Amino acid sequence: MNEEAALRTQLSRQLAHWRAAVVTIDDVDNFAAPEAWARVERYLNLALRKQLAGTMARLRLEVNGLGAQLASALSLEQLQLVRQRLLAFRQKYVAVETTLDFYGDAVNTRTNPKLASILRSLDLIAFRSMETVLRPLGKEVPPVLTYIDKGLGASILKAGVRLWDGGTISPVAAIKITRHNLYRPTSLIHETGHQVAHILGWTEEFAAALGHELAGHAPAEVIEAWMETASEVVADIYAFVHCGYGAVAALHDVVAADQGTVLRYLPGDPHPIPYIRVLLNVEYCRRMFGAGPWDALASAWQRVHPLANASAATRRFLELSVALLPRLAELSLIRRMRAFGGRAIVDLVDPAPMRPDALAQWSQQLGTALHTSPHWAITEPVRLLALSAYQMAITPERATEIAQNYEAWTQRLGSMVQAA
Amino acid sequence: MFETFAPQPGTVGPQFEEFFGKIWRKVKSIARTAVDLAKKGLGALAKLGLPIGLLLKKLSRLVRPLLNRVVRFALNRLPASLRPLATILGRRLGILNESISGEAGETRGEEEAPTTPEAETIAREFDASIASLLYARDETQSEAVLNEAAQETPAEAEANPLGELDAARERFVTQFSQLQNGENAEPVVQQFIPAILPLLRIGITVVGRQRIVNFLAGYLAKLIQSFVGPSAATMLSRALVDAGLRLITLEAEMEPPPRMAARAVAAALEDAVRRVANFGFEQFENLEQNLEDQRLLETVASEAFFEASISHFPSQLLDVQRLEDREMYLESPGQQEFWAYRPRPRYKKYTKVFQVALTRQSAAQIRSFGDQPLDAFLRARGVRLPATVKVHLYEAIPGTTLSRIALLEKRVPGLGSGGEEAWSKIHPLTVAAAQGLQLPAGLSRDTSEQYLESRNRIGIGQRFYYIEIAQSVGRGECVRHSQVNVTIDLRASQVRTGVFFSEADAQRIVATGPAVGAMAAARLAQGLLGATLHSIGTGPSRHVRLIREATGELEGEEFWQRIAGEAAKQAIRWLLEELAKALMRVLKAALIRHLNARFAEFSTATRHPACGVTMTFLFNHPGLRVLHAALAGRMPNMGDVRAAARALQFPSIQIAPGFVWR
Repeated sequence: MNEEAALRTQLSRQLAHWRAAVVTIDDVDNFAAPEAWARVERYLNLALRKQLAGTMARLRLEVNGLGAQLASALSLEQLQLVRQRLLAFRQKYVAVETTLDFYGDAVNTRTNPKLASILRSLDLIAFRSMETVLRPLGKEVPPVLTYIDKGLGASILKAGVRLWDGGTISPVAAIKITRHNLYRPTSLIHETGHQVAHILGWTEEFAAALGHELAGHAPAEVIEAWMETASEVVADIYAFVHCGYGAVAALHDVVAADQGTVLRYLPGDPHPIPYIRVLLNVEYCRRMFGAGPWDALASAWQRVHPLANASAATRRFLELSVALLPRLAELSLIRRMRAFGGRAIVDLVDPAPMRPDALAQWSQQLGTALHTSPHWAITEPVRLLALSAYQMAITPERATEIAQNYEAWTQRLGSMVQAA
Repeated sequence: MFETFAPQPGTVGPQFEEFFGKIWRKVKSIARTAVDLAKKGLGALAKLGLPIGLLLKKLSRLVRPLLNRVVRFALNRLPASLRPLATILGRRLGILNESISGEAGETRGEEEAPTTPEAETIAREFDASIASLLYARDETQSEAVLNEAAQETPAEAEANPLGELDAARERFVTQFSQLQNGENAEPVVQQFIPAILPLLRIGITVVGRQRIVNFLAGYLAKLIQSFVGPSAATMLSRALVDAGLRLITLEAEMEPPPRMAARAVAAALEDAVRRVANFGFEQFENLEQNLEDQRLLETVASEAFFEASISHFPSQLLDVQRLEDREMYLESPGQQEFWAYRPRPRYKKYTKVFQVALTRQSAAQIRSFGDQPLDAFLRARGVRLPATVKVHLYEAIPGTTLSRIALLEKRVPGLGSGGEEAWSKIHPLTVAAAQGLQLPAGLSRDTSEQYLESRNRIGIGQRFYYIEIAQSVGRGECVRHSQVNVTIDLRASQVRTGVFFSEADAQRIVATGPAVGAMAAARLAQGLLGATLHSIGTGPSRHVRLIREATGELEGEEFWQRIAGEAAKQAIRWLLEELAKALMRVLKAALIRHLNARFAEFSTATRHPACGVTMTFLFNHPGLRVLHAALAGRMPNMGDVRAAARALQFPSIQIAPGFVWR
């Protein structure tokens, strides 16, 4: 057998193998159980399936194209080209499989009906939190798929970004909620903040504003360090305006690690150093609500983590940053942004209903109806989340009761969201 | 006793149970009414001295024919997968035998009882039978009623105008698509038109009908001649696809060009015939002898076909000059988009999906079925306005039900299921609704009031819209909207007014706090009171009940039929209007006063799991004897009426969770 024929045989066999492999992944039901798919809201299900079907169609086209190229390859050189394309196809296949696997895993967390119901309600809460800002600005609100996973922090795979395979655009915002925070998921709103910032270009504008407005008030390297964390700061702002102190307390509980971690500067980490991140969030509460339970949280935080334990450079950065807090809070909340159509974030999302006294009055006036009436679950789910997180923060001894109430309304809401 | 007829839970599919459940609830409610009457010794059957058991037995004889007809009717409309179960149910009830179970017709994607002529006839005739039975003069008459109900006319058992139209339409599509260039379309049209007529409820003799069919077939065939043949079909189908047909059609449903074109021609023909029928067929009864009539019918048919063409063909195929001449009165002249059969002939869909910026104010002005404001509907599903939404438009053809639209619109997010949570999201596209949604006015159609009351009763040609909402909440648990219901009980000389606050409204009232809550409730109730009290003058209605001593509750038409003479009717109308005015005066003040003093009671009721809160105002009103006397034929004088209205005393008030109407 000559070299050309030998190569053709090898390529034909490999092509047959990959063609068969494409068939095995050519059905989204192979990646998540049909009953899990059926527990995804219909609109979301449609969007997801449509996009993944497109991804699969591209892969099929690619493998068919390879077949045609192989059939028409007449020389050794042409066969070499087919071989190179086949290698590229293998990578593409793996990338598509990773994409499908990711969504499959996310959807598969809905095999349990109760959990599926809560996750559907979180999809809706996340969607609503974005709608408040994006709709008035005339922007499309992407659908959200929440899923549950292990770990300490939530995360997001934003809608509109290019996925692993390089061709598929993420059709939905896929947000990971950690198990420990399922009953107090204010981090969900932090993640939708990332999505909103991505759509509006908020992060870039905020970073530029930090550079411009802090100039002269702090050394350049301090300002630069803050600018590098702009993406996480805006997400914190978003969680705060929607959920008030509940979001701040929940954030505290996630970042309250050992001394070394709280006071450590990690080069390249987009998150502010935990010590100053918590204090900035407390500053938001002070700026919008005045004095409150956050004052006690801040003083305990500072007592537990004295700056003396930080390295000299970090300590200097943190001390200078503490002095900047009122200015940072002003910039975060009150400064008008082009991203918001010339308005400040608090003009679009008024944090006033999340003030502790407002939440207490709301809760007192409506009593158990807040958790039992479908009306509130449907119309004010974000505020109910804020209330639940606030109650958890100030009355931890009632944690079980608060969690039961939370479960009652989120389950109710989830059952009302139309599944596929 | 009636339970022996009830379908056993779990033995049939859930959709079938739901369908049957509606009929079943009606049977039970009627039985209860009859028993109440009998206990009070008021019904004619009671006068005969029949014990309650015997009375129920008689009613059960009425139920069996009803079930018989319902099951036969439903069998033809159930999905194929449910039909064996329905057959089992039928056999279990002892009302289906082997031969009937084998007769099931073609497959239809339908779970709900459709608002078709057959369904309405069954319901109406059953009501009539019940009434006749209850008011039968003697045993012989009641037996006659039962025997009549048990019989079924052969024509009724056989006739299926919807099925015939479906078949005729398919035949037309096949035959028309096979015509060659220049071939005469008249024989094909002549076969099609007779199938359209039975569903249009036209009063005309068989002979007259044939004359008109022949004439119309000849004339309309000429008008569609330009679409005959393969080349014309190619041109038409291309234009249809370009104008959006592909956007609303699933790949699997796309037909070859000749059939696609033929289907559009069929749609236009059906619509044209309906328009001619609306003009009135009766006047053309003697068409053959009268040349002037022939010319008139030609003009009417020509205009009807042109107007139908505007709805069913892309604008570039139409006569531009003719369009311009009629711009003043035609619906949506010059639109590229058109109404297409979806999928195949089940309903029509407009090929354009509109993007609409919807504000709270405009949604509050738009009324849906049962007079429900659109904003309340959207609010109950958590939609925040203003928002930009996608709006899909539909049109009913014979046999259309909203559940069918909802079921078959699989590509539209939020639809794709035949369940209530899907079809309850379809609203009537009246002229006012189109205005509020900023849609071209020509796409909307006002329709008879009877087709705006409930989603279960819609009219041919009626148009609808569906608002597509991303990640929305489906049918909420509490969907009943705020309303005022009035019972004028002449037996007890009482007027009971129930002001029902929907779950959403009740919660919002409480959320405003005690200082503002009473006023907020009063403002809301004022509008509702106005609408209901205004309708009191027209007698019993959806929100007004009138109970007489001798006869029990009376329905609207029945109420007026029982009053002899126009003068008496006028007097009673006037009397009711005076009563409504007096009620309006007293109720507003009573509501504010009561809520000011006892807001906590209202607040407690909202914490109950039941949906919404009802405030019941009970007026003991001796003045009602004037109305009582008037109904008995003794005319009151003006003074008596005014005194009666004035005599309305301050009511006693109860607040209860949930919906209450006694």
